[in-house]
Amino acid sequence: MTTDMAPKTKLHAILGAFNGPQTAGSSPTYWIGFFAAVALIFLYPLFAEDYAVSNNGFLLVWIFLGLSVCILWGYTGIFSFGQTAFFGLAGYAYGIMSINMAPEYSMLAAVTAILIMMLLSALIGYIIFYGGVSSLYIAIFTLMLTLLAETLLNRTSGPQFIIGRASLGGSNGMVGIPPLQLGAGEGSVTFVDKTFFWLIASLLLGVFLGLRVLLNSSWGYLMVATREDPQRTQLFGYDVRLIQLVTYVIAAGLAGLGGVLFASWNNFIAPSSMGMTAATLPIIWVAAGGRSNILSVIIATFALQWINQQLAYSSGQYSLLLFAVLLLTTVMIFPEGVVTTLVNWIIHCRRAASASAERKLLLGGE
Amino acid sequence: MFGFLFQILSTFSFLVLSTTGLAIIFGVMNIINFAHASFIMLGAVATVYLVSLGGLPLFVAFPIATVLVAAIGAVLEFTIIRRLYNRKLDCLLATWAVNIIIVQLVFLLLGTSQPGIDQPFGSFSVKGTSYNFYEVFLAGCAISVLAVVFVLFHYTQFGLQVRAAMQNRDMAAGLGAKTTLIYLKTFALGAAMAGLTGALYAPLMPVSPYFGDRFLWRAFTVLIVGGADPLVGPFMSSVALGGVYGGLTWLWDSVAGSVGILLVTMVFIRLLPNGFTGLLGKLRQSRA
Repeated sequence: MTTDMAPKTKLHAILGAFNGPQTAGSSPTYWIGFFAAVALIFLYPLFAEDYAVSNNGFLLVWIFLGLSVCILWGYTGIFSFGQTAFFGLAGYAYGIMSINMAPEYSMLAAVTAILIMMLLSALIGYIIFYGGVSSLYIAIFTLMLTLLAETLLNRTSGPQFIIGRASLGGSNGMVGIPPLQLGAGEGSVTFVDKTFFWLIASLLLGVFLGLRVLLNSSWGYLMVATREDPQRTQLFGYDVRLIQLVTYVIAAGLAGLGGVLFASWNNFIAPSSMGMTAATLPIIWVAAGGRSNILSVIIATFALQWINQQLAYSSGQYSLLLFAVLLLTTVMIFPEGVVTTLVNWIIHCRRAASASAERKLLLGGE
Repeated sequence: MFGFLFQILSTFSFLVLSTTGLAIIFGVMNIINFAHASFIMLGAVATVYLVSLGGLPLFVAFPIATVLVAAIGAVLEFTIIRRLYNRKLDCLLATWAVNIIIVQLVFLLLGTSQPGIDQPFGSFSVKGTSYNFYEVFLAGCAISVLAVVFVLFHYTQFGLQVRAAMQNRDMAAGLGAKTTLIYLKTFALGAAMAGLTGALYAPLMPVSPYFGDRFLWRAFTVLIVGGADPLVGPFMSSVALGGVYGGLTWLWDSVAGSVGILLVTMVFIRLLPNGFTGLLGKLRQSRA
């Protein structure tokens, strides 16, 4: 919407990189509201109790997984059922490394775990994208991978599955994973409760702004072109397989980041993080939010995980049923996502209202 | 040696039975029915209750369970699937949602553990190891299912119309085939196959709402390795994967078998993205 306008000032030039047709919201009002919301989020831990802050920080962890599915499915048209495999395996990788290393190296363990996931995704991505299978096959193959990872890790309960001091623990999962820590000795910061919240919020802000730049760059256009018509994009001389592969690796990095944060908050990771339910939830957040809108996905992920948590206290057995009904409703009635549809409707109403006001003004002037 | 062959045979029949319903729907309608697992589970649950509560003989319960699941499949096609023919991924999502809804409803209504039923036929032993006659019966069922599909697709009016709709739906409709009705019947047939599979395996495995899950990912591998042809696909890839899985399971354990299946599937995805169906097509082309 603002791309055809030449940047007028330095501020416009900087903002220009963040704005574009691939992401909703580019008006000054949007950005003022956005930074006000960010400021409130960062101030929030100062006025709340440790437990609530820690819990809300934990809810934010899932957003990385949601965004991973969003840029793959919503922007590039790759429906991957298996992003939770990278989430879970990153948790395991971080756990194995951080348990065996001194606490001051936990950041190194986190980065290494994410890089391992990106390497793994490059291998899998090479097989599926360069093999040229259909999108339906990609969906079932990625689901198969994550279910197989769960099955294999469920069988790792014996003493032969102890790596250094880390025991994989079979279906009970791996326990005693240390939290993230920056620096060593007295000046070090351990990320728990409020500091964890600030860490997550900063990472999330960085990822959100980074994705806005990425999606509005020429690479983002290529992603959307691949989604809309892969053949035409290929005929324009772009290597669609490479675009898909690189996006897949970025998405795996995001899911891996989420997994590392999950394991460090929870001090625990289990094979069920790669099971059927775990694979389904991100799809529901993204579908219900609005698959091609990163802000919708962020809102939907947080809201649905909050609902999930509330239901877990009282009636956990109904929550999956409720989510499945939500998914079915979304597909049948709101294909663009509930949040996106709602926002579009509000914008439409406001436009209609201002248009009718204008008409009144014109008629009154005559 | 007999144990090895028996393992392969039992894996083969498991793969054929768990995939045929999925493959028919995929081959004809180009839809991946993610509700497949819940259909299998419904077949098993229906059988278990018909036998234990209804007091019916097992072989009367089989057809009733099959017809019941076919009816559920038809209702699903009529209410949901037909609105999503042109949105393949949304169709996948909708069937997946239906799968979860069915599984959760069964869980809420009937709980986790279901009554067990006896396995018929007894067992025989070769060189001190005992084997079930029922597994042999299942292999017979798998081969009969393939034979029925073959006859249905190649020697009936319905099969002719189905194959026409597979090749070109619009053309078939233009020539007077009622494609909507064909799709409805196809989906019900696929559901019936899933229900039959669940019913057949009910005496062999503990039945729970999550009964279908163990069939699902193996059915997916067979689908990927087999390709779109609803007859050639399941048969060829069940033979191949049955050999790999059965062999590795017999040599080491089922984990090795699962990894072996995964590796074979990866090789197929990379080198033969259309599976055995594509390979067969290439062979036919090169001969002509």
